[in-house]
Amino acid sequence: MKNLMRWFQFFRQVLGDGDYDRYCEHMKRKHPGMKPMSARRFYLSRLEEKYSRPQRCC
Amino acid sequence: MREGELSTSLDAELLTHYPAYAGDPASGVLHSAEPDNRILPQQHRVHEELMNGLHRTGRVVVWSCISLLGAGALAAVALHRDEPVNATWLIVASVCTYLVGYRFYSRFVALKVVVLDDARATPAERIDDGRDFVPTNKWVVFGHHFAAIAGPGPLVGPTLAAQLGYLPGTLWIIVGAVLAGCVQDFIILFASIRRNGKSLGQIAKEEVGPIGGITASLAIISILVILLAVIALVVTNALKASPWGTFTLAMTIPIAMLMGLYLRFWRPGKVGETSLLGVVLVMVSVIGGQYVARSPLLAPMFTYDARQLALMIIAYGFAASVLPVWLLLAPRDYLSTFVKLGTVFLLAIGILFVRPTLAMPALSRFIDGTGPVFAGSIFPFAFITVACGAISGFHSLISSGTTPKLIRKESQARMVGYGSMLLESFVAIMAMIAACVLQPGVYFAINSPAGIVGTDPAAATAMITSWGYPVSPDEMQGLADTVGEATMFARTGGAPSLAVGIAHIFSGTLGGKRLMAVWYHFAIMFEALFILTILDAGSRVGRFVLQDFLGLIWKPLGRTSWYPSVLITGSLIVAAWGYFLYQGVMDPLGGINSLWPLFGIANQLLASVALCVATTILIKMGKVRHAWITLVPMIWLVLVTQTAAYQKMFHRDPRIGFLAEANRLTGLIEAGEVAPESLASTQRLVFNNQLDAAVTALFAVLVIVVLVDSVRVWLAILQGRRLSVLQEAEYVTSALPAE
Repeated sequence: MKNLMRWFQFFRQVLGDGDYDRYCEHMKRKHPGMKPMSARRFYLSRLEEKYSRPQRCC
Repeated sequence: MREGELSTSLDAELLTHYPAYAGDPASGVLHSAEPDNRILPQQHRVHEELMNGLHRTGRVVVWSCISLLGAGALAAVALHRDEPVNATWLIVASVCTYLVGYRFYSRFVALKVVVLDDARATPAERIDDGRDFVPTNKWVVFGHHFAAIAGPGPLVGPTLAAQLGYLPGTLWIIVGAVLAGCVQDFIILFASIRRNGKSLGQIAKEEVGPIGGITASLAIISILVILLAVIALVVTNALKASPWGTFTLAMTIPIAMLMGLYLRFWRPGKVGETSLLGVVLVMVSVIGGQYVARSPLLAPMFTYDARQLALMIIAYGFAASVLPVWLLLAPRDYLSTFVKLGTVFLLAIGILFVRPTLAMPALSRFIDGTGPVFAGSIFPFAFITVACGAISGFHSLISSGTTPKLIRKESQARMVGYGSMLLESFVAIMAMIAACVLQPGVYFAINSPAGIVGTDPAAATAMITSWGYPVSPDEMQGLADTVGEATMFARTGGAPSLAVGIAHIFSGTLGGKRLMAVWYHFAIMFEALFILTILDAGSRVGRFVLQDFLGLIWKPLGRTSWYPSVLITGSLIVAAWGYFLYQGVMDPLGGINSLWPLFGIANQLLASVALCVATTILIKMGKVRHAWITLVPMIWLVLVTQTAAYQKMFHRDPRIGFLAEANRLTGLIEAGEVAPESLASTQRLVFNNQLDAAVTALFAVLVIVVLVDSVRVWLAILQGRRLSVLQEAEYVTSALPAE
């Protein structure tokens, strides 16, 4: 069961599902005064960043 | 077996040469150049040496066995004649070579050449902004990186190269990856980690000079254009007159949009569940496609010829590149990555289960350069054709893109950079196997353009049989019926024959002949899906690079958010690849013969640029003695690309030389042998061939410019006329514990 959870977490990370949680935690840790972006804005800003340079290859 | 248990004499050697070698042997890394860590506790060191001695015998035995097994399998693959070889030999030969290459060669590069240093903080640790720069688990980075580098190249390239027999392609895939492709990916990744994740273009500019930088950008745009054109051509040929395939692929557009809306409005960022939903819907449309193909009402709505499909793909490419990313591009990317990784995994399982026999001979008669799939002899064209399975310049863009910003410890660059490319090379081996399980006669019937074998089934099969690869019209019709297509003749581009091979292997494990048609269309969908994704993403990236470029001329054009500039540059890029796509569709020889080599040359041109940059960095690091690890692959690639470029321009055979073909057609026109109604199209063919020759010339010149510029820098440094200053980011000691 513990292994199963670990695999699940691994896939979540590979897919990027946990990116927003990680970002919130980062903001809390490093910039406690600032309000983090909303989940939707974070998602959209990540996409803009991701697809503005070579991301998929031949 | 853990890698850490496998240290060899190299450790002992390191201890004598580098007293600082305190690292965990698993990572193969010199731990620190920091003064504090320099002296190893004596006891620890003695213990370490003792353990080394105890374990050494076992390790030597294991690695000798792997090496012997690999060498034996390679010999079996290479020397087997007269009777068919089992695919297992190819698997064993490649996997053993990869293991030995990873264990010894990449370790040598990591320890002795670039000297990875886990005590040095990576940009992910130093900058750690919670968004781009994030220290990430190494297996997660590996997954990201592999998903990014694995594309249609290693699937299509080996399939086309199979025309020479399985041997030339296989050997180059294995050897090229271990000695060239993996090294390039690894060293560029390392270089980018040391430079805060800068791109190849920026690194080239800073380490070599402005000329190198500009050439790299130019090379990136031109390779993108040719790449997008040729993969679009592959899709076009695969969907030609195939309502089932066209329907399935068309369905992926609304499915992706649905996923995009879901991710944008309902569940922001929940990629996992959305992709799962998308995959289920795509599978439903793959299965549902057969009812569309059988329906007299629906089938005509999804049946198109190559010209119509090309125009639709061009329109789609333009729309997709200017639409918001969240709506189409991103969800389709998730979907295709899911399907791609799943299929590659299934294919590996399938091959291991079925253990198919290769029907293709080791060397076919076409090593003389007269093959119907592409013209030209083994050197240089086998190396150009295999493309990404052995070395791909495009990878250097990924290695200097997102990946370096996620790496937690320098030592992980070895596994992520070198290791991912080994896996990609293995994908190429599987594609080679899938192509070679077909009877050679069937393979040639699928892959020979109508311009060579004609359109009449009886005549075509008679001609292919006369080459020594027997096939009959009934056999081909039987195959077409089994996979649910109207015809399998002249389905050039590699995708259909690969799909038949994959379907053959899958149906050997699951479902038998009954499911062959579903597996075939699944394979077609799988290839077409991620080719379209690359069309979207590539057009977009091309647009950004072009805007960067044009921004130098007129500032507003460089603003990526200014809509007129987006539309202008977007249409320029799409028009450029669209032109080559259309040209390929109208080409009587099928287009692959002219476009695929152009793509191979462009891709390896970029690889030469990357290896040039890597060599410059090694020389600047004071590793002149070890610079051959990038210099030798670079010289080889320059030889290959220059020879190929020269032959594509000036070869006297019109099927190889663009100018010879242009002259032949001009001769026909002047002699009045061209019918008046086809005069215009023949004149266009003349122009297209001249254009292709000009593009080839541009590629060749770009390589020479970068090469001359770099050699100038190398000589200046070696002769002491120029200070060797590395543009690395400052050294910060890492505080992160090892994983």
